[in-house]
Amino acid sequence: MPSAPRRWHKPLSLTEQRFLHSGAWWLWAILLAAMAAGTKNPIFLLSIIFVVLLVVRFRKSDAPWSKSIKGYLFAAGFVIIFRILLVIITPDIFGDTLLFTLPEIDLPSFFAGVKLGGEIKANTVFFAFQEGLRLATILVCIGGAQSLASPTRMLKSIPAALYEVGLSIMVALTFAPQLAFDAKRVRDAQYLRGRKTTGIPALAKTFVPVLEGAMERALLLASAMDSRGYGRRIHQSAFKRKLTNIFMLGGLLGILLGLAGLLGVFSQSNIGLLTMILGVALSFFALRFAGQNASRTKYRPDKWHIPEVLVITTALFGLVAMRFTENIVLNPLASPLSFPQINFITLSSIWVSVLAITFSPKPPLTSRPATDLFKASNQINRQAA
Amino acid sequence: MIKFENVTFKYSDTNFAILENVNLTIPAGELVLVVGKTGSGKSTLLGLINGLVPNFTGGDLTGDVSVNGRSIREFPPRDFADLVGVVRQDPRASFVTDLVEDELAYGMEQLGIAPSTMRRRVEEVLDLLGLAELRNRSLATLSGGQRQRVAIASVLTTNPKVLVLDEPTSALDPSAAEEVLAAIQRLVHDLGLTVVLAEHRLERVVQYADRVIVVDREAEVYADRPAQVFASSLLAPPVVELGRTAGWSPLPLTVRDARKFADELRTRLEKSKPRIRVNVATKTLVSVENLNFNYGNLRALRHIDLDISDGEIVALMGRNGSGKSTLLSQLVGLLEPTSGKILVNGKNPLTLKGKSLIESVGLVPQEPTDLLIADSVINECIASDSDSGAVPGTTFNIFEQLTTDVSENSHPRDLSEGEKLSLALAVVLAAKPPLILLDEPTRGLDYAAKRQLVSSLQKLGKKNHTIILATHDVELAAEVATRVILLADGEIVTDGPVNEVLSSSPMFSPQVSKVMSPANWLTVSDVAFALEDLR
Repeated sequence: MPSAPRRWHKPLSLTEQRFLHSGAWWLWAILLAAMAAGTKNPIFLLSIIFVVLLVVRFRKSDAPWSKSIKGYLFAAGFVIIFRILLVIITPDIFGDTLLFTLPEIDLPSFFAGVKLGGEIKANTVFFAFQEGLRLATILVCIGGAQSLASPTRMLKSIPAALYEVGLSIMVALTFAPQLAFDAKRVRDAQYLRGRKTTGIPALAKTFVPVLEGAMERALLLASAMDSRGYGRRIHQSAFKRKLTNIFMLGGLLGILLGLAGLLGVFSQSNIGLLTMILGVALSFFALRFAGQNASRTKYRPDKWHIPEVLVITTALFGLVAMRFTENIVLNPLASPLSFPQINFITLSSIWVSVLAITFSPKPPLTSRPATDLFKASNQINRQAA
Repeated sequence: MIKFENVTFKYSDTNFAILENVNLTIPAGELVLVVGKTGSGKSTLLGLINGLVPNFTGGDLTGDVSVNGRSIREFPPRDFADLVGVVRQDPRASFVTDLVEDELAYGMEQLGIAPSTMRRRVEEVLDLLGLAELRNRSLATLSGGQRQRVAIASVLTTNPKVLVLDEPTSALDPSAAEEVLAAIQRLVHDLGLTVVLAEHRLERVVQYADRVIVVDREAEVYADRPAQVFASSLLAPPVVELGRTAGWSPLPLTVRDARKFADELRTRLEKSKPRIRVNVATKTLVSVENLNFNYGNLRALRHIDLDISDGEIVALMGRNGSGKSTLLSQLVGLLEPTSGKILVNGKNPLTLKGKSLIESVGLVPQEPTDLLIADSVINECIASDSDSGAVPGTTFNIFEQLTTDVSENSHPRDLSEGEKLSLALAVVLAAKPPLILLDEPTRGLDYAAKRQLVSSLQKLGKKNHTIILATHDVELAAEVATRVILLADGEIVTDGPVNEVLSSSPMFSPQVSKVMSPANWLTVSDVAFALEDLR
């Protein structure tokens, strides 16, 4: 069988339209999230949010998954408001700047220590805002990664052993919009029969047909995948399969314990690091073993090129700069209340991440832009006139 | 290539065999058409080829099916992936990925084909089916014809020897169907692929078939040359029926063959005229003024002006996505116009709710089962009576007039396509709406069910119901419509009496009109009627 000619692998230029490696976007976003986790300074946090939003604005594709950032923004807003409301309902007493006083509610004695209402201090509100904003920023970073990296392309980059997990996530992703569509169809049909389409009984009635439809589609998809060869595998001995499972479980356990250790749950942080390394090693072997099991190949998997490396590098500057920033700048005191200090070197290092826009290629279009069609038809109309 | 040996198959919850003692041999490189009534076992026959039946459906199989010597008794469907490609009526249900190129590669990835080979085959197949420009497109943004071609392409990349297609064009408009069928024919000619194809709309596919397999539950399954099969079969495209009616021999199978006889028939019918189907209008029932509708920034309907009187049967035709279904949704108040005015029976459909809605307008959606909610025919009818406040038994009486021999206890899902449609129509008719809308009613209907639908619609028209059908089916439009409206890109392109519109359009003219032009005949029944008159 002749092999493909070399010319299809033409060298990538920085400007060529293609999808950046999904892993690169995720790493970039995780680095930004790590920055956010290390500071409570609202100016730094807002900078990170703006960086993510700018990059998403210029580098998201036109596919449906690119719209997920909106949902994350709503969630982020909700987190901030919720966190502030929480202190207003159960305020801490510290601080010196009184904002306003709420009527105090006495709780039964078994709620001892919990206080509802009372004096609301600006310090506590500011403290809550900082914490809420930090969590919100991390959410926006995750949303950014989801909007920038195609879930299907991500599937190509994960180890072969995790293929099934990834595939089920992907199928679920395509099922969700379909469910919404089905629900609308059923509601329409109820309307056409002159029945109520709002209220709980009507909702209950949509539930069963939608579920039925989903089941039916799942079966159809399963049979379609089967007839296209899904699940053809090289057989592996039972012993090796068991070994893989043990390694995998041990590895995951190690990683979890390691994480806990690194976060300082144990007194000696060396244990955390060691278990982490052990866990990663075990998982690696497990994935290698399981990978030998699969006889699949990958069509045009994303490759690491210079742009990928550059994009990740942009996010490293901020993280490094923050290591050398004074704690008072990173975590401004809420009491006494003062305007957060800024270190310009740190701030500009955070903003270096926005250069991801220039280093990453534009994603190709996956749908025909409707506006073009109408531009074209308008031109025809004008000519006719 | 494909061998059925003494195949008997029975689904586990039924007590009759759906296929009995089938012996067939399909040689390599043929395009074989499978015909039969709905529910006759066509899909079962197709499913047996790669073992999806009984592996995914359950049931008892005796005998053996083998493809290229590989038996479905020994191998699961996935081991046929490099031998048999299966494409279904709605390819959306079987897409696994979200981009055209990835979908094409999916099957090869599963088979572990080397990346360089995959790359080359994807390019080849993209060219073969004319999909090169769509390679980066998201599957969700494709048109019906493109989607079907992508589905075919995605099974071709594994280099199968057999292609199995279950009603590949039934959801498509005539030009998209032609685009898909042309692609299939090229595969047979260029690659020597064996194609097994089931289709109800015989007028679209008969000319491509080398052989026809007739599936009938009451008789033996057999395969023969198209000419032999259609000489006697009840299921036949209009051109064959025209040949029978006019007594032509040998029986023509294609419009091209039939035109050789057309001169003779035209002179015979020189003094006759087609029946004119006009009902006397008494009032305007639907009036639409400068209607516009946008989906986001896509303009789905533009400047629609329309007046429809009672007793008219209007066929809305046009490409997939030209705005037919959208217009129907507007008329029933499911969608609110962006601008413009709609009056149905003097009222704005948006202001109607509940009983007042179903008493003014009824819509049978594309999937008639959407409308059905109960677990048996009789419960469905009772629910419908109470919804519409009709005398108990009304819906069931209507249903019995529309169809024959259906047990009142059967589950609506187990009915044949034609029976489902009848039940949905009965539900709609129970409230006696003056305006009835049908969206693509003949999808999945065989000729017998279609004939039944045609006569029901004609009767309703005579009772001065107004009927609007959105349809791709030219033959249906030719049979029942009094008026045809062609939509393109959300605008009305043509609006006129059925004879004028259908006979002048190359894409939307029925077979009889193609044979008889320049004389203005549309349907076999019109010709038969005129010939009867002459006698």
